[in-house]
Amino acid sequence: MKLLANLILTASIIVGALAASTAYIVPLSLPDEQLVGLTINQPAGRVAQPDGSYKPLVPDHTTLTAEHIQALRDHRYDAQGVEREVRFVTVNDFDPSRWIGRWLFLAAMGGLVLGASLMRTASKRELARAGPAAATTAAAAVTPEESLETIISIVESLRRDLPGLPDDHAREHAVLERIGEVQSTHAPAFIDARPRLIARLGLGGYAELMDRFAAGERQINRAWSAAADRAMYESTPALDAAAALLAEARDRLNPQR
Amino acid sequence: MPDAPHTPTDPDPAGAPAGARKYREVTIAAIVFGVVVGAIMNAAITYAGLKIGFTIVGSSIAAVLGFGVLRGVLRKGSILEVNIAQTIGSAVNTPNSGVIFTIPVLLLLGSQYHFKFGDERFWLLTAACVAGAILGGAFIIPLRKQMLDVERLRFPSAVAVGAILKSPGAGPKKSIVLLVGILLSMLIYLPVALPGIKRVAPLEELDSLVAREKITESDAARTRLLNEWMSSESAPAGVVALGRLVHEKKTAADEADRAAAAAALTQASRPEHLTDAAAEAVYLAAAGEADWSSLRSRPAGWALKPLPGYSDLNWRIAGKRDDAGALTYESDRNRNGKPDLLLTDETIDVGRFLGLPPQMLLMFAITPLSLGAGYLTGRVGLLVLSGGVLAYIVLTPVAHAMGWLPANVTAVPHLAPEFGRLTFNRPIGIGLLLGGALAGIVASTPAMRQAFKSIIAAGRTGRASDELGFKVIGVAAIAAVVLLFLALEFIAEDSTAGLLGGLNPHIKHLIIALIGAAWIWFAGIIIAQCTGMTDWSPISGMALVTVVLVMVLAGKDDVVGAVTIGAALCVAITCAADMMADLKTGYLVGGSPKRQQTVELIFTGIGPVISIATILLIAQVNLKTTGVPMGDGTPTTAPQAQALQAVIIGVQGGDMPYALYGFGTVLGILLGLGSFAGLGVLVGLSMYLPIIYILTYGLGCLINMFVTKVKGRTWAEEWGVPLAAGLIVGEAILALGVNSVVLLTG
Repeated sequence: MKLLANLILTASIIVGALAASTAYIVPLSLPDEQLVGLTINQPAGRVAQPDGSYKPLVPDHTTLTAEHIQALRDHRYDAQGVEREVRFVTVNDFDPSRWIGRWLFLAAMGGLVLGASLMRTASKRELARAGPAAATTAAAAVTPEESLETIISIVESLRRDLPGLPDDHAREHAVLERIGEVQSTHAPAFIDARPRLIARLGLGGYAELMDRFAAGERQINRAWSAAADRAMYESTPALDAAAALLAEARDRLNPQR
Repeated sequence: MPDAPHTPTDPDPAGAPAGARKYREVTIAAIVFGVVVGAIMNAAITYAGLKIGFTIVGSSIAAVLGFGVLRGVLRKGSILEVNIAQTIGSAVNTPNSGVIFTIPVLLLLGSQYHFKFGDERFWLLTAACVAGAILGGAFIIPLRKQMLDVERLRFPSAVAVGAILKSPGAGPKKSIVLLVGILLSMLIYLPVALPGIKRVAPLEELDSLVAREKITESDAARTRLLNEWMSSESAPAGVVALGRLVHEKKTAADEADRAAAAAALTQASRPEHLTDAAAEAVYLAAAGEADWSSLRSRPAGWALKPLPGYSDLNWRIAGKRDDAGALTYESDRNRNGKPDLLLTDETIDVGRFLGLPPQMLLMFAITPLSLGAGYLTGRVGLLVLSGGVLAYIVLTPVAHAMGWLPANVTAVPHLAPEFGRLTFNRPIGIGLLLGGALAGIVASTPAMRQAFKSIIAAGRTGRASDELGFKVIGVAAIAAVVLLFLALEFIAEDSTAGLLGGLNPHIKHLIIALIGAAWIWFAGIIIAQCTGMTDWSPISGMALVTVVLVMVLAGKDDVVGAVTIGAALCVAITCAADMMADLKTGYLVGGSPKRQQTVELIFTGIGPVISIATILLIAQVNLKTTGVPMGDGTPTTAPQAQALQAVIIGVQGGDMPYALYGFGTVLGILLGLGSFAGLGVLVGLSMYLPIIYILTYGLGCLINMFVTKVKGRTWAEEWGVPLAAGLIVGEAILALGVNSVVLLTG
C-alpha cells in the first residue's frame, strides 16, 4: 500500500506543479474578447533582424490588441531549424476562468489527499503489524526499552568502576571507550525507534520522553568531551547527571514500572 | 570508539590549575577569539558575497582556527571552550548573509535611497539589523527542544563542526580521516577557486587566452587598443573626449552636473570594444593626471588572465557539424566556433555528456562542501533531490515541449532551465516551502507544547534550566520589536497606499513591526528546519516574500521601509538557523545550551554593524573609482541584492506571480498530510535553488546510502562522518583563503 501511496503522491505533485506553472499562461486559441486588454509580461514571437539579432514580435508589458493577437496567431519562427508557432502568451494577471490547468490542479489536490491518507493508513498498519516487541533496527534487533537499558547499564557500570581504576588516565580511557560505544551504537538505536514510540506514546508523550533522554544524552556527551580533555573532575559529575536523567526517561517510557 | 588513549605526558588541555578545577567553557580567551575571528570573517565574507553572490558558513572555519589558537597556541582550550569560541565567531559572522542580500538594494535603486556613514539612515538600518539578529536568536531558543531533542534534525554542517571539536578524543585514526577529508576537499576545490585570482594578461598570450575561452575577443581587442595608446602615449581625440565625460559624470559636484554629463555620455559615439572605464583611464593619462602605463591595469579594462582551473583540461563535447561545415547548436551553444566545454572551472555537464536535450539540465557543481553535506544528510536528502528533478527534468522540459515558454526561450532551449527557475519553479518552490513549513508546524504542535511546558516548568520550580527562560527571551523579543518600530518610525516613507495605507502612520508602523516579528518567528522556523534537514538555507526566498509582504502592507512606494524590515528579517532568520546549528554542535559535545544562547545573544549584534560598515566602505571606494556605489560597472555586482531589486521592481510594476506562490503553498500543505509533514519544505527548497548544487548534494546522499548498504551503518557513520566533515571544512577554508587573496589583490 505504501508503494501505491508513494506513486499517487509522486504523480499528484508532478501534475499539480505542472498545472500550477500554467497559471499565467493564456492560449491564443481563446476568443479575442478574452485576450484583448491583457498585458503580457514576457515577449511573444521572435523576428530575425538584418544584423542577425532577434526581436520579439510583441514586446513584454504590451497590452494586447486584436491586431497583436492576429499577428501572433499568424506568426512562425525558427527554433533550431524547426518552424514553431506561438500558441500561448504569458500575462501578468491571474484569472481562474482562463487557467488551462485548473482541472488538473484540482485532480492533483485530490490525489495528494488520497495518497496522504493511504500513506498514513499504511504506516499505522505497519506499526500495528510489527507489534510492540518488534525489532527497531535491522542491525541491532533490540527494542527501545532494551536500548535504553543498555545505555543506563553502561553509564551505571562506568560510575561503579571509575573509582576503582588506578589513575585518571585509565578512567579517561574507560569513559572514551564505553561512552563512545553508546554514542555510536546504542543511542542511535534508541532514536531509530521514533516512529514506534510516537505510535505508542503520541507525539506529546514522545516529546516528554525525549526531553529527558536528550538531556541525559547531552550529559553523556559532556562526560566524553571532558574525558577527552583529561578533565575527569567534570566527566564524573556529568555521568552522575546523565544517570539521573536517563532514569527519568526510563520512567516516562514505562510509567507502570 | 577511541583508537588510543592520551599519553601521560600530555599537558592538561582543559587547563585546570590544581585546587581550582573548573572545566573551561565560557572564558575571556574564547570570547576575544570568537569576536576577533568572527569580525574578520564577517568583513571578508561580506566582500566576497557582494562580489560572487554567495556566502560561506563560518562555524567550521572558526572551529578549526579555535583549535589552532586556543589549544595549539594558548595550550589550554577545552572542547567546550572551542565550542563557545566557534559559537561566538559564527554569531558575529552570520548576519552578513542577511545584510548583503538586502541592504545593497538601497545602493542599487538610485541616489534617493543611498546612505552614508553616520547619517540617520545608516544608524536606523543598523539598529533594525541588530534588532533582527537578537530577535532571530531569541525566537528560536524555545524551539531547541522540539528541533534538536524531539525532531533530531541532522544539521550536517553542525555535525561537521562537532566532528572537528571531538577529534582530540576520537583517536588519531579519525583525526587522520578528518584531515584527509580536508586535504581531499582542498585538492578538488583548488581548480575551482584558483581562476578567481586573476592577473593582468601578457600581450603575447591574448590569442591563446581567447582560444581557451578565458577572455572574450572583445577583451583582447580592447587590450590591444590600450596597448597601442600606451605605447604611443596618445589616443584619438574622440576617445579622450568620451573619457572626459565619464570622469565628469563621476566627479560631478551635484546631481544636475551629473545628469548633464550622463546625458552627454549617452549621445557620445563609442569605438567598438571600448568601455567607459577604459575611456576614462585614457582621458586621465592624456590629461597628465595618470601615467600612460596605468592603462595596463585591471581598472582600465586590460584583459585579465585567471590562474589555471578545470577548464584548462579542455574537455569538450564532440563537435558535430552541419552540411555547411559549421558546428551545430548542440555542439556550440554560445556560437563561438568551438565545441562547448563539458568541464568548466565550476561545473561538469553530465546531461550533455549523456546527450540529454538542452532544456533538461543535468549539471553538477564541483563542490566538495555540497557532497559532504549530502553525505551527512543521508537518505532524507533524496527528497531534496526529488524537487530538483521535478523542476529541471520534468516541469521545464514539459513547459518547453508544450510551447508554454516564450519564443526567445523556445528557440534557444539551453536558456529554458534558468528561465523556468526564475519564472515558475522558484515561486512554486517557495510556496511549497511555506506550505510544507506550515504543515510541519501544525503537525509538531504537541511536541512544541511539550517543549514550552518543560521550559516554563523549569522556570517555575527553580530547577536548573538547560536554557534561557521565557523572561529573558521575552525581554529580548520586546526590545527588538521596539527597535524595529523605531527604525520604521524614522526611516519609512509616508505612503497612503498598501493594505494599511489608511491608518495613522504610528499605528501602521507598530502593526508592521509586530507582523514582521511574527513573520520572523515563522521564517526562522522554516530556515532552521531547512538547514537542519539539508544544510541549505532558503534565505533568498524568505527575504523575497518578506519584502513583498511589507510592500503589500505599507504600499509599493515604501521601498526603504520594506528593505529595512526585509534586512532585519534576513539577519534574523540567518541568526536563527545559526543559533540552532550551534546548539546542535553544542549538543554533540555536551555544551551547555544556556551558555551558548547567552553568548550568542550578547555578541550577535556586532555582526550587522561590521557588515553594513564594510558595505559602505566598499560603496565609497566604488563611488570614487567608478562613479556608482554598487552593482554593474563596479567590482562588487551584488548579485543577490540585484535579485531582490528585480523583485521590488516587479512588485512596483505589478509583475509578481502571486498565484504561483499560492498554488505552491496549497501543494506544500497537502504534501504534508502524509506521514512526513515537512515534505513540502524539502521538495520546495530544491525547486527554487540552482540545481547544480542540489545534484552534487544528492550524489553525497547516494554515496551515504551505498556505503551504508555495503559496509553497514556504524562504519558509514564512524568513518564517513569525519571524511564528510573534512570535505565541508576544506572547501570553506580554501574559499575563504582565495577570497582573502582576491580581497587583498583587488
